[in-house]
Amino acid sequence: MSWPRFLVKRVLALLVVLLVASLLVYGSLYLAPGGPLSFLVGTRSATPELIAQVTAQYHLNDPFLVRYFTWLADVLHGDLGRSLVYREAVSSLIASRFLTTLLLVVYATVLILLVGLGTGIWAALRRGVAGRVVTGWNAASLSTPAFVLGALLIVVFALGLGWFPVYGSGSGFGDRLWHLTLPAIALALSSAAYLSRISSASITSEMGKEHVETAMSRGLPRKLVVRRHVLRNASIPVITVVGLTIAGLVAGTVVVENVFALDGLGSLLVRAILQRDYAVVQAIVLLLTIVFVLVNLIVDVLYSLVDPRLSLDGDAL
Amino acid sequence: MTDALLQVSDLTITVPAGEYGADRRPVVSGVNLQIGAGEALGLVGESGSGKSMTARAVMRLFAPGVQATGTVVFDGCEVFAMEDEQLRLLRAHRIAMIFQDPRAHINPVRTVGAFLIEGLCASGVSTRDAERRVTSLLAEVGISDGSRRMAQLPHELSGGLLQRVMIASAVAMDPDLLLADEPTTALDVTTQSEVMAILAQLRTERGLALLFITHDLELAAATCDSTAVMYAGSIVERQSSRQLLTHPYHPYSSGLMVSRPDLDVVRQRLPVIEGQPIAAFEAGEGCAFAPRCGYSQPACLATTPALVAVQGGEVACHRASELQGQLPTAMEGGGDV
Ligand SMILES: Nc1ncnc2c1ncn2[C@@H]1O[C@H](COP(=O)(O)OP(=O)(O)OP(=O)(O)O)[C@@H](O)[C@H]1O
Ligand code: SF4
Ligand SMILES: [Mg+2]
Repeated sequence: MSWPRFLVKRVLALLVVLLVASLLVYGSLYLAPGGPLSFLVGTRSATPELIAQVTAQYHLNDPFLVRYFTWLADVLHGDLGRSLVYREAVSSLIASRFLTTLLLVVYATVLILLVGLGTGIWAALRRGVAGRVVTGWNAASLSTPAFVLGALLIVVFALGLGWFPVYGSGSGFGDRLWHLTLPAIALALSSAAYLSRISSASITSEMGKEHVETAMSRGLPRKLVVRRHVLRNASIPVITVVGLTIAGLVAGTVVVENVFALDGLGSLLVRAILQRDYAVVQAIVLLLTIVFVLVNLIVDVLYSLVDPRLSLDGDAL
Repeated sequence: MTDALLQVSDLTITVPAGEYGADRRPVVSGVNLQIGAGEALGLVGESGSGKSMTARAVMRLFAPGVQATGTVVFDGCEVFAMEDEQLRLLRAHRIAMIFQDPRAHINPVRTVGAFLIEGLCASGVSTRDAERRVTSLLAEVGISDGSRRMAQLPHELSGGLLQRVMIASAVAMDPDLLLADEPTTALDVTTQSEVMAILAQLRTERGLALLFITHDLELAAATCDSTAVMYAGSIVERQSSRQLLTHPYHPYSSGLMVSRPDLDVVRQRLPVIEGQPIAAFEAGEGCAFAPRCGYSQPACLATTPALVAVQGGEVACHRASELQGQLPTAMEGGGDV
């Protein structure tokens, strides 16, 4: 299969996944005990006005599928509904917070790739003391939960040394990055350690492979052997882990945003769930699904680039 | 004889053993070999006798932790004393190795063509020239649709084709010595003989010296000028191939011939002589072969027989002169030669 066809096929599959996901996200409201109305009203006092407003906003009197398609059409037009709590359009509620969270995830991803791959490759190729130092560091990082690490970072680098702000998202790109540094580290550290471990193990196992012995027996320069035969082949399992890790970061932001009092999607999601602000929950979950699916698409494309044995038909996976 | 192309003297190889690899155990002990320019030497023995280790020692191709003593002199240069760069050039231009399992020994995610031209390109040949040279080499090893094959991935080729690719890549740099570590063991019988014929042809055309490793004594003898038999990390007999077939000195050599299965029976890697072969570190005092030897006497267990010169070769057996001419050979043993 050619690349254009492969991509078209993958994008179509992606749309199907999103459609199913949206149905699930929308439908889950109707699985709530007591039905959607009592779920949506929740602990608020059920004044006739509130009931009328909720019923109208969620079209609760229409049949399910009609309501679903009305909602979907709205979503496709960029109308994500109104928040019951903030009395504001969900899209504008989400927009600024999305940027904070996106920046945080990208920042953490860069850190994970730099630190995780860097130490992993270094440990595998150097062995000896370097290997043991990295192994110890990884073990410590993996056993520190993000919220503990976050608190620790705040105490030492924000309150103690005063190098970084204690909380908040900042304004302007540079200032935002500065504000997001500690949160990104808290979010990245254990994933970086995991990636370091996986990449180091993958490289070590690839170094012992017969085809690498062949390459060495042919008198190829060691650097070339490492780059062309060891690192390339070792990257195949690493790509999967990177994909899963980045997708997992999206969930990790919930904790970190709360520790650092960042106003991002994660903290908004938690609040929206607690306040039964269902339009907000739907929108955020849908957004996270899109991110998740996109990351998967990128992983698949990278896979086919690195390992040509996986035909673009995708049947080898 | 110091003018041989390859002279291996007193080669001993140890591998780490025990907790944290603190102990070392020998897997090859005191091996001497020599190969003249253009000559072929067969190296025969059962699994674990140290054949592959010996061959790898010739180009110092060891896994981490493996250590070797003794000397390997190739064309006047001491291989174990070489700088890394000198060793790399030796591997790139003078000695090539082909392996038993081409599927494992060729990078699965790169094309056959990339594998073939890699050595040439690394030594400065342009991609286009390298491709042209390699395509004609493929034709020499019996692959006529070379350019199509070169675009394929290794898993799209059969084992026999891949071994031909391996052979083509080994001779692409015009080496002086080819190390062939059981190049046909993983192939079916018909493909085996095709690959052997290709090797023989390339050897005579190019004046290649060959170290040919196999379990099959008669295949070695049919291919090589002389044949060395290895047991438990040591050479127990070396003779000209013709003489070895008719007048083996060592009971083990004789046993390898007699027990050889017929060609039309599927050949398997089973112990063909009664009992299990042992590795060098498992051998105690006395003759390592004694527990499996039908001619063993109490004296055999007392001291380890040394490799001594006999008429036409060398043998390490206390009873070699007594047994001379009495050991069964392939002719009487039901073989097919
Ligand atoms: N990297 C290693 N570390 C430890 N022991 C090893 C290593 N490689 C080989 N050995 C041991 O060394 C001995 C000789 O191995 P070698 O591969 O040379 O045998 P061989 O004669 O080639 O056998 P085969 O016919 O099975 O290929 C065996 O006992 C093997 O287990
Ligand atoms: S020395 Fe003795 S045991 Fe060893 S091969 Fe000769 S006869 Fe057999
Ligand atoms: Mg071997």
